[in-house]
Amino acid sequence: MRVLFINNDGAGFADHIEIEPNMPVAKFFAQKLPHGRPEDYLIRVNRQPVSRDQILHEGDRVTITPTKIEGAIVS
Amino acid sequence: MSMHKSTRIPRIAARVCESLQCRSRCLTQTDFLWQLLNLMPEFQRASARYRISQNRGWSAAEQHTRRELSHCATRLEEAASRLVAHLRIQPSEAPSFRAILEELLEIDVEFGKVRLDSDANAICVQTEPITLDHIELGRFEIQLHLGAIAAIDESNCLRVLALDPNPCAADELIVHPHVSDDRLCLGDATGPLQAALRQCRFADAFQIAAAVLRTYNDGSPYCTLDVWHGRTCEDCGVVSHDDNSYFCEHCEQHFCDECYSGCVVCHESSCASCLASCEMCDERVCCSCLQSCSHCGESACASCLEEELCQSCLEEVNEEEIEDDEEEIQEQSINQQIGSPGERIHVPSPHNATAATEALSSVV
Repeated sequence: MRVLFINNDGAGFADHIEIEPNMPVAKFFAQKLPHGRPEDYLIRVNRQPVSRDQILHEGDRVTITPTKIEGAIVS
Repeated sequence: MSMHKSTRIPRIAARVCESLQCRSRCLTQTDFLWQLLNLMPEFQRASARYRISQNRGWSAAEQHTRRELSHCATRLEEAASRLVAHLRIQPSEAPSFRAILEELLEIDVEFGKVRLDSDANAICVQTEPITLDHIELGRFEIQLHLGAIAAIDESNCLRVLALDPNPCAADELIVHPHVSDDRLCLGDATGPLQAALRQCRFADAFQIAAAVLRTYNDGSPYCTLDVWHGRTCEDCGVVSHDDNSYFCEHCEQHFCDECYSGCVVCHESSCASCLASCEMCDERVCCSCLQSCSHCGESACASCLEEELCQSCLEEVNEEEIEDDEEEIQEQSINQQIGSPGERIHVPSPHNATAATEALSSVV
């Protein structure tokens, strides 16, 4: 099944990807951001914040945004 | 949902669509290319002027032309970046009204209330009051400028305004460790924010900007939070924490501990500028403890003066006095020798021993 994955971590990424059917959000997060902690991210599905056990469906729009990002002066 | 019934957000969405579509039509790939090409002759001229001034050793002209060339190169770089950004992105259609409306509804839910600043042509949201390391920085308004977004002018897309400004002591334009002059230094957020703006994902862009505002990176701030309430030393310009900042009561300015000292005589504290230097011992003394030698008039501290005289003048005066005494004794001896040879000889002081001995021998 295909979902639109928008990753606002790192360099920023938005694309349609294939995932296994009926995947919960927690598993999706662990696959895509294996070194991240879910509590440090705002996870939205179809623009709504969701719980970790929410099941993803075909065509869902999954957005992961860090809640803390380090700013820095451009040298 | 009541949000859909509201006319506020659809109105904003219509304005956003209009701005983005209008600019998209105006600025095409050819425009970006022409902007770049038009800057080339100017850059070549500046480059030639710099080379000439360099070859002829005109240092003032070289400095001026280098600045001019640097300015041209910066404009060229910006134009090239805009063209590259325009070429890299997918030739997407302008975002639909529905897409913009969905973005705005999401923003409205996540930030409370989205508004359109018609004058600035920007969509704006407010953050909650932000506190970092116990420093209350207040609320911020994040603005996304639609004109800059449409023109892919990434350096001018985002503005951050402090609504309850609590600027750092060193610079009132720094209202957050990562905000100066309404500009957010994005650091790690640069890539995701640019990607979000190019795809008109405004809700993500606001969330990314807010995430930077909620985070303190002590490795690269405009001003570190530990000296946020510090004070700038009037002498060396260093920002010192309140605990290490000193107030000089003479000039009523603040100084760092390096530029603040005390009078060696009365120990009253003062800044270095308000202390004078004793010309004898070079120690720093306050004006009240600085006196003048009554003989030569040089300034000296109380410990370098004796009977209102500096050390060299004191020695000089003593020598003069000794000489005077010697002369007096000599005169007395001569007078005694000439006038009454049988009279008892005046016992000389040890200083006048030589003269007295001579006088005695002549009498004998």
